Amino acid sequence: MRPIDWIVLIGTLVAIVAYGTWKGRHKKDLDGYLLAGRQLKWPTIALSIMATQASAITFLSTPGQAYTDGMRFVQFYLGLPIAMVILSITAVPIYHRLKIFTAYEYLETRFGVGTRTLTSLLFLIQRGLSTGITLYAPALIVSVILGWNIHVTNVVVGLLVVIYTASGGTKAVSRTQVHQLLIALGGMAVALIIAIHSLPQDVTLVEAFRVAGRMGRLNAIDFHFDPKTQYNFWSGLIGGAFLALSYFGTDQSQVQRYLTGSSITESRLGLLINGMVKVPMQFFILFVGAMVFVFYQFVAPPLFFNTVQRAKVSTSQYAAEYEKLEAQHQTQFTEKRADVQRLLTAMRAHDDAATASATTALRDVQQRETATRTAAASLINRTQPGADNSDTNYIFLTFVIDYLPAGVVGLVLAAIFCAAMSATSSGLNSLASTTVVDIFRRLGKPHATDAECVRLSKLSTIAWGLFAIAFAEFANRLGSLIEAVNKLGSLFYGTILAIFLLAFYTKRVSGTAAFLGALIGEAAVVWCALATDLAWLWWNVIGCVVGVLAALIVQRFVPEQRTNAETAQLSS
Amino acid sequence: MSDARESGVGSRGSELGSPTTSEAPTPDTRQPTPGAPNWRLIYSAVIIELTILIVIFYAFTKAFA
Repeated sequence: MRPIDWIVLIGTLVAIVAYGTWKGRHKKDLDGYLLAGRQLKWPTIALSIMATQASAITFLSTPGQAYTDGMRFVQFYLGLPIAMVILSITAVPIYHRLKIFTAYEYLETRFGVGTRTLTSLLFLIQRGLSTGITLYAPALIVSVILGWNIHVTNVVVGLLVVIYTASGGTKAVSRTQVHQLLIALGGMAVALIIAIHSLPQDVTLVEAFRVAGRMGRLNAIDFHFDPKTQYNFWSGLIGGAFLALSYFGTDQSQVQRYLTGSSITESRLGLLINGMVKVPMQFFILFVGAMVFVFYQFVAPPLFFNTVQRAKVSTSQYAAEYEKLEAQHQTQFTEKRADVQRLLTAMRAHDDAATASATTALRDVQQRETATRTAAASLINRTQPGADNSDTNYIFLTFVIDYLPAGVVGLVLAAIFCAAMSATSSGLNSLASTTVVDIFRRLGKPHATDAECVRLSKLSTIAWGLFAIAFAEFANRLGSLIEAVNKLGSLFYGTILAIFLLAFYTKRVSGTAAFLGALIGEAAVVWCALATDLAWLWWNVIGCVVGVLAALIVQRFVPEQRTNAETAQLSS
Repeated sequence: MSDARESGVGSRGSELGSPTTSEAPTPDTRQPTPGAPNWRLIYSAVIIELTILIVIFYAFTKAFA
């Protein structure tokens, strides 16, 4: 890090915190504090929704996914636009008409306080842990690559977020997210341009595409159906749609974004624009990773990108073995670079036979290189049992630090921290809303005044911020972080979605049946996670389908109960 | 609104007003649509864009595989 990088990084972060604090400086009632007075327009809502989902993990881990596994991760997002349309038709009008603060409030009108409390608690557990991971991800990666102290980084970034989130509430969160997302995307765009510009001068962009494609890095769509494969068209479209329905329709961190809309139209447009922009945006971020992969076909990459683990194994009893693997990796790289040059020459000469031969040789050496990297990871695991032996999260930042010019490194780091702050702030904001509205005011003090609730919301934001910082200190050994967050969510999202679908679409299912159905659905998800090889995107489908079916079956065996709403109708 | 919140109304879902058994989700045609005759066209645009993206991604995969 050079002085100009520090200036860019610190300047950006201070400006964001100051802007957020200034934007949210006015005294507010609870509506103003938790929902920005329900006055926001669709561009702010759309960017806020996108910034909430796109954390630092998105910008650090996703390019690494493309580097190691190709672009097929984009399929994970294919169900999202469908979910946005469904939610615009169903959830948005209902939430707006009821003038609720949280999605879980709606459930009480349908199933009673037990189901509302259950879903609120599931949300608090899942989101509380996820927010910790969101904070931890960039701190871990920059601490490894730049040698910063991970504890100090966690605490500093966490406290910066707490300052403007607690003081300004939702308005500060949404307004800052607009700028944070633009900075993050700007940083990625600059990184992409430099990655392409850093390729050898005789390699054109189309040739770079061909190299990446032939090495399996532009595998954006795979129609082959296999329930054990994490990312294919079907798991993305079906499992991804269920996940997105649950995440955007029932997770308060997202629902709160579009509840801030000044009308149904503004909220709907915010969701739909997200549906239109999200897939190309993820494709772009993965494409950055694919181009970094091409860059490393011409410049030798390290055998293992995590420098801390590399240093540990180099001073362990396995040092000689690791050194041997490094030498092997270097030989394979030299061989691979020659094969890439041979492939390019054959393609330029339109020589199909030579192209096929070079491609076969290239794939062969790549397989051997992958085996060498796997052996290195296993050696690291033997050195430190239980250590994170995946280096996916370190690939992009290693490229940034080693090859990007002064100033741009600071910009990309600022982009990553902005993304971390934006996702963390909406997480804290939603945790505070649920704690105050669904727990404190519902179960503790129903007649609390607005002033009391706002004060408690601020305290709750600070408390959840401290919890997230504390959890971040322990959130290691999680492998690819973007997978970790989504896997964690997928443990609960299907069940929560089942409850909401029962609420939206059934009239006769009672609170008891919904509650028991949810418990059975959750048990099915836990069984899938612990006892089967089923890809985790399908957990969302299992939790939802089992939850709905179980509730419908239970309903046949329990006496029909009137819902609160029906009782209210009868008594009016 | 703020008066109701001051007195704690709204903290209980059952006090939120309109019963939800009659809140079955239906396409809301009364909401103004920006730059389109109706919401169905906007929803169709989102799905058509997704379809086009899938076709482009598939062509991209095949072209460089």
